[in-house]
Amino acid sequence: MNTRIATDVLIIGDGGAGATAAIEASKNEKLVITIATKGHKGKSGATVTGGADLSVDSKTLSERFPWLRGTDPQDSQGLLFEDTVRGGKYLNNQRMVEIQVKEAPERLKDLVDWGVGISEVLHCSGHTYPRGVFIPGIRLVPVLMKKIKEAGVTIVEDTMVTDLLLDDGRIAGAVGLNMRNGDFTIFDAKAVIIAAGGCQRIYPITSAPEELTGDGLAMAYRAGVELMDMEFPMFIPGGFVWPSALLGIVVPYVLSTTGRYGPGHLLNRYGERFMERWAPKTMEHSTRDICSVAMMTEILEGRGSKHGGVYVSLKHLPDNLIDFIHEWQAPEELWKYGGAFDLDDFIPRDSLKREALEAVPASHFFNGGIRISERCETNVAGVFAAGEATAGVHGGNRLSGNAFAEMVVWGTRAGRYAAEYAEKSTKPEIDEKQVERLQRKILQPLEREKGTKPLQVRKTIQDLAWEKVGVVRDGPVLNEAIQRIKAIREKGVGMLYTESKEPVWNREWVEALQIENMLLCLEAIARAALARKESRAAHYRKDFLYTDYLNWTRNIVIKLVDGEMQLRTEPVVVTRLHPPAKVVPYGSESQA
Amino acid sequence: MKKRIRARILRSNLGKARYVEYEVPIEESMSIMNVLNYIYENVDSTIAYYCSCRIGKCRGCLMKINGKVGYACTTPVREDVTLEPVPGREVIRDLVVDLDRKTM
Repeated sequence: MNTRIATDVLIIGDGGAGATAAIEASKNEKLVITIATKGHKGKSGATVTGGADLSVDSKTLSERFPWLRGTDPQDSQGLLFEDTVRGGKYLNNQRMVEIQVKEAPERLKDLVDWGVGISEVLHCSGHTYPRGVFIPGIRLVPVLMKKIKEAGVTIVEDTMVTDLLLDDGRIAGAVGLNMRNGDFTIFDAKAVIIAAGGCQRIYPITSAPEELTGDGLAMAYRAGVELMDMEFPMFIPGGFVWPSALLGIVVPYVLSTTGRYGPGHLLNRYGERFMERWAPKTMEHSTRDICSVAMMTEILEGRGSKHGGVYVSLKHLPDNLIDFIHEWQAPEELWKYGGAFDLDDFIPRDSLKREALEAVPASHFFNGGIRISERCETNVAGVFAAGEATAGVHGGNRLSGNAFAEMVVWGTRAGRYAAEYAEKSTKPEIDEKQVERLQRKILQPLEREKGTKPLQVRKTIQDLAWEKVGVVRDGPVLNEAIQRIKAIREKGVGMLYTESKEPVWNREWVEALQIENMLLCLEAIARAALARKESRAAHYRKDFLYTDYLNWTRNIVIKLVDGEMQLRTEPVVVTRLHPPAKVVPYGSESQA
Repeated sequence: MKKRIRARILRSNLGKARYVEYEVPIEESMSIMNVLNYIYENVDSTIAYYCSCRIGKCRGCLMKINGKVGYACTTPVREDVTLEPVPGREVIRDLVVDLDRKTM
């Protein structure tokens, strides 16, 4: 059965970017605003899972939010701008960074006005001053959901949007699958905002929730929207590989790059503290890119742990300090995970006195994504994007707190400009042929009697991503990966089928629809990684061990042209911080 | 040596729910969510349950575990277990419910 929903602005994703976009767009009372989300309302995506801190310069914080603990008035917006660009290794769009730094305090003010409590500021690695206003996702999301309800925005939940609909080169709407009843859903829209996050799930071990499979990036790409900086997926060096209940989960009291938290020592199977070879001064508290590369090198060169990671040990600490390790090492909301999780059930504290944990760099964030303007427009008329799904603000590596700032600053801007656009636009025509073709594509795995199993193909993609397009890269291996991707597309994706033909909440069916998106994101990462002939930030090439600021301070842009994935480079948008005109060994500046 | 447990799961069946039993190998520090993932990935891919954050934050995997309401991802598993949908909510399928919609 088909369901048709008409709206002025359709927002894909109900996380922080989607929610702030909806709240802002709904200020225009003439417009109908609709959100579609793949999960239960307010119960999916990265926002609710977030630790999380919102970067605002410490000076503005001390002036406008004087009750906050831990601010330092010596900071400035200029310094936050500089740290962000240096952290991103000069690949950031500096006009966008300026906007974000300037508007982040306004967005924090919104959140406080709406009822989000704030009390303390964290000092995270890469930041010269404390700037991370601590707001865990579980505190943020209920407030956003309440505001959305008050604004009269409809949320269509448990609905996976699969593709955009175009009318003569501009947006006309989108189609998707309602998992609750198996209905095909057609959205009629004058403007669409993609706020559906990254593609962390292409890697087998991730700190992100299950549903981040790059749907937003892939549907945009298929509609001709440009992607950028795709070679920079970010890894966090403390996702546990054991025990299985904690797979990919980050346990901040053991290993963290946040300020003084995380006293764990990283050891290889010979008991060596290998960070000495990479960053003898900052050791385990080096930035996340360096720690991840170091850990992965140990694993790939056969010095890893029993379950495929490296060891994280607290044995250098006295027992009666470990007794209080959770409480003393991180804010309660981080280790209690909102009260629902008792870590002692899975890692008994006493065991930390005897045994090391096992961790890997876990897939954590997408620095790259949809290429947007300062008004959140893409190159396709009526398609807007915001939040983690976009590229520009972070460049090659994101500083802690800047994902939250990106989410609320660009979510709000996307809502504002998409509403402006929708108000001026006429209603586009839905092309029924396009709809039929996409409906057939969605139904295929359910109708096919035999073929390849979505779970197996997903695992193949994840293993390939981890082994050949992961933290440590190498030209010939990337080439091999691109050939494998082609083979998977031909043999695997075209033949997907589901064992169960039940249309209601069929996990395998959704999995099948996600696979095309995951494979596309993996291909974009692999091709961009192969093209970038240097090592920089979150992109590390074994065959190019230097950062080439002279020739490679450029962004790689990816676009679908005549059925082919086409790559080109564009100069970075620079306003006032110029990259050093030199070639330097990878990671050498992190020691400064 | 892996221990094996039995997981009894109340599944929808054309509107008439019935219990289906699965045997699952467990190791130390596994959660109910790990059990469900094991069944989905290795035994029966038709099973329906909600999984997003895996760490007790999104609160989407609320269900009845051995008679008590709890989250699948934060509840450790050590023995045989019975899983049922949250009582008082409209069942979408198997263990997935509409958390907003209460049944009379």
